[in-house]
This record gives sequence, C-alpha cells and structure tokens, in this order.
Amino acid sequence: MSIRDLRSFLSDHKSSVWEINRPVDVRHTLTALQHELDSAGRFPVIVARQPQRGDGQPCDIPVVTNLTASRVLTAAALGIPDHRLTASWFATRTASGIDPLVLPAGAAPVQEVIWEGEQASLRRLPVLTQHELEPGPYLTAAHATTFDPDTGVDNTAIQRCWVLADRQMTWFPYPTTHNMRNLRKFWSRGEPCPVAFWIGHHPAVLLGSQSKLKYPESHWRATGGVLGEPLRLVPSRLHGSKIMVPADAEIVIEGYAPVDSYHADGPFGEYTGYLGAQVQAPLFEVGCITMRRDPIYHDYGSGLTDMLVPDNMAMEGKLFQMVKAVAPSLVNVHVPTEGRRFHAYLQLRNPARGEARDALAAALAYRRVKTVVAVDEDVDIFAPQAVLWALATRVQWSRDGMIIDGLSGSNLDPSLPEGANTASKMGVDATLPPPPRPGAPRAVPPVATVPEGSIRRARDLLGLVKDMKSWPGA
Amino acid sequence: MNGEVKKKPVLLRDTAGAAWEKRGNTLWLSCDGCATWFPVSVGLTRPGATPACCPCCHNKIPLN
Repeated sequence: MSIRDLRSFLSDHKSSVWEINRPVDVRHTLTALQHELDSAGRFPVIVARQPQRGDGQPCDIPVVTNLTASRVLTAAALGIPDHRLTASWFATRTASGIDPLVLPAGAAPVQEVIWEGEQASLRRLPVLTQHELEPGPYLTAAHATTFDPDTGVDNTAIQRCWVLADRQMTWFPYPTTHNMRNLRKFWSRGEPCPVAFWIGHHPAVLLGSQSKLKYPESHWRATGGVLGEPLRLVPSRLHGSKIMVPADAEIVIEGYAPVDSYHADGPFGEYTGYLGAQVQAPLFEVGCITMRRDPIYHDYGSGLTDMLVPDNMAMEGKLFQMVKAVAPSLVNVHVPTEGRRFHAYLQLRNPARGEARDALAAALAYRRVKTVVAVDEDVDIFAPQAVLWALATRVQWSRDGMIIDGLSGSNLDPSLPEGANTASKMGVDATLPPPPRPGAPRAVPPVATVPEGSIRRARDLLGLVKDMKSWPGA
Repeated sequence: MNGEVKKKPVLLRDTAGAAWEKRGNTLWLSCDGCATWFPVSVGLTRPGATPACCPCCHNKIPLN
C-alpha cells in the first residue's frame, strides 16, 4: 500500500497546486498572497520552491501553504464524497479509530537527516513572518506532542512558536489546553517538559490530529480513523517511545520546555481576523531537528481559510456528536468560515417540540461557538443566503432567540468586555413549527416553488447559453 | 548621556463606563524605545510576569 503523506497528496492533486518557481520573501509576501486569494475566492495549494528566509538568504527547503484553504479539496483528501457530509463522517471516523503502527527507531523517512548541536538551528528553516506587528517568524503548523507524566498518554495540538534564536523559541499552548496541563504537571515536579513538534503531513493526518478528545486521550487512534489506515509512528530521537512522532512527517523539532521559563509572545494574527495581544508563553529549547532528505516546510495562513477550514471541519464532527446525543433529529452541522469559529448552523429533520432548543443549548456548550442557528432540512446550511432567509422568515426574536450569559468562550473575541472570563451566547430557533397533527401540513404558508419538470426544462435552456459570465451579476 | 531622553512606556486602556455602553477590551502599550504601540494581555501586568517585548525593536518592557 502506498504511503499517504504531504508529498503524495501534492502529487495526486497537481491541478490544484500553484508552484511558484521564483524567489518569494517569507516575510509577509506569502501571507499577502493568501489574503488576495481569499478575497478572490480561489484556494490553490501554494508551493514556493525558492523561499527567501527572513535574513534575505535563499533556502532550499520549499514552503507549502494554503494546503487546506479549499474545503472541497480538503474533504476529497479525507475521502469524503461531498464536503457537506463532513460532520457525521468525522464524528463516526474519529469515534471508531484505527490503532497506529509503530516503526523501529531510525526506520522512518522523517529521521533520514538529523541536525544536532549547533547544526540544529531553527533559522535554517524558511519560517514565515505573516502579519504586521508580529514580532518575528512563527511556526504555525507545528503539531506539539507531549505526554501526561501520570498516565503516559500523549497529546497533540497545533500551537504557534516564535523563533527567538537559533535553538530557542516560544511555545504557546493556550492555558486550557491538554498540552498546558501536561506542561504544568512536569513543571510541578521540577522537571522540564519534553516536547516534539512535527511539521508537514497528509491533510487527513493534519485533520485527524485536530480531533477534539477528552483528557488524557491520544490523538493517534482518531487520526488513523480519519486517515482510514494505521498512522505510521516512530519513537522520537530524544524522548524515545514516550513521544512518538508521525514517521512520514516532513520535519520534527525535539527538545524541552525548561521549568518556569517564560517569554513574551505575540502579538499574533488569530483565527478571529484580529491580532491577539502579547501574552506570556513557555520557552522551548531545541535538542535536535530531524527531517526527510528533501523536506517540505508547511505553514498555515493564520486567521485565513487555510487554517479555518480544517479546524472548522473537525469542530463539525465534535458538534455532531454533542448535539446528536440530545437531539436525534439532527441531520447536519456547518461551522462556516465567515463566522470564523463562532457560528454554527444545525440542520434538523422534523424536530419534536423543544428539540430545536435542546440542540441549540448543546451546541452553545462548545467553548468556541457563540451563535447557533437551527434550521429545517429544506434550508441549505452551506448557503449563507438560505440561512439568512430562514432567519428573516421563521423567527420572532422574543420567542425564538435564546441568550445565555456566563458560558465558556474564547478570550480572543474582540467584543468581550474587559476582564470577562465568560461569554454571552445566542441560539436562534429558525425552524418552522411542527404540524398541528401528524401527517397534516404545517400551519405556515407553503414555500414558493416551481414544478420539477419545469426546472429540468429551464436547465436545458440555460445549457444552451455559451457565456453566462457576460451577464450582469448582483 | 547623549542628550536623548528615554520615554516612559505608556499603557492605554478604555475607561470604565455603564454596562450598556460599548467599551474596548484591549490594553495597548507604547514601547519606551521606539514608540511602537502594540496590544498586551493583562497577564503581563501581573506580579512575576515576564517583561513585555516590543514587536518592532524587541526592547524588553517590565510592566509590574
């Protein structure tokens, strides 16, 4: 069986890849390209073959970014036949899971080349500086793997790192994350926290490793479930089998977070589209860097669709599990990128009285979600105009709006009052009322439609038109 | 001394007001080295916190 990794994905989807074979500055230019493409609504994978590092020097390690900006392409990478089926697919695959396969130490592609001592310099990598007012180059697609010293169970999450020196960087696990819990446990014992950061893999592995799991719970099994085959792992060089890393990743950075050592971190462009304020983050000291013979460096465009799409798809899987448990009428979930990670749309099939509000309450319990809209099955939750139509025509605000204060939220929300530790959230029941009795029509006006046959004939006619693009748009 | 007067770092926050009035939640800091303004978290003003670091000139600015 062929190995699924980043390079196999790029090779399999050449028509979706834009290769730039001229020098490109990793300071701002690649990110500016992503902003322009987002604005244009086009989402190619970008491969910069001749990146120029922050010091102006050419780097022979190519940069891949915008890898997951296209939801359609990302779903295809996972083997999902239609991106609109992500929620239930992701929930099922992460729950079933497939155990990983462990290779012997040293037998993995990601350990073909080893930089140690002075060689192991972060500045040899083409690390991007993305936005204005960021203090320097950041690793944005570094998957930090740690383990719980009590149970030995590992954890993986994407967490940003500011490259401060050749062998030193910050590492920012958000205070409520499982990696931060592991770090605190090590530090409370007076021990440095072992960490391995792995970079670059097949999108299915990237999404699987973002599965939202309990603590402590390894992400490798869920990742195998998303990948559809066992994930190949290898013991890390410094930490051995205590921290496994994906054998087919591109680059791994290993080392320790020394006890009680912090540095300022940020400001940094966040998923909200704003810069997050400077915070205090743990320091990380590099022990060694391993990689392929011809590694590819992966970067996520922070706050861009490149980063929103994969995490929102993983959120849909988790929300589907949470809401389905209390609302069996749930059909589908969409976390639209235009709402960043704050909006969720729930689609219900003939919900019983009260069930839509049960569904809303369950979804609002998800920390990042701030606004949830429940609609009927006839409303396409992937079409913003359809959701707005339901809001316009199926809602009386005093009856159907549900505001709950004091729920957990994201402190990156710029609208929060100063000092707030919790958020005010809203659910909207935009479903139609159920019929007065089973089998009867709903006591609302029918939707204006045309017969199916007429639609077919209309499409046939439109098929004769050579260039619809010349017609006026909105 | 070369005659330059070292500026003091300036912390700027929105004033408190009535609950029904919109107020910003971001604490801004002006670097005492290069006068760049940048947002900082309240955590950096707490006792024992690491110094803030200007994103432009990397000047270290203790806030507690």
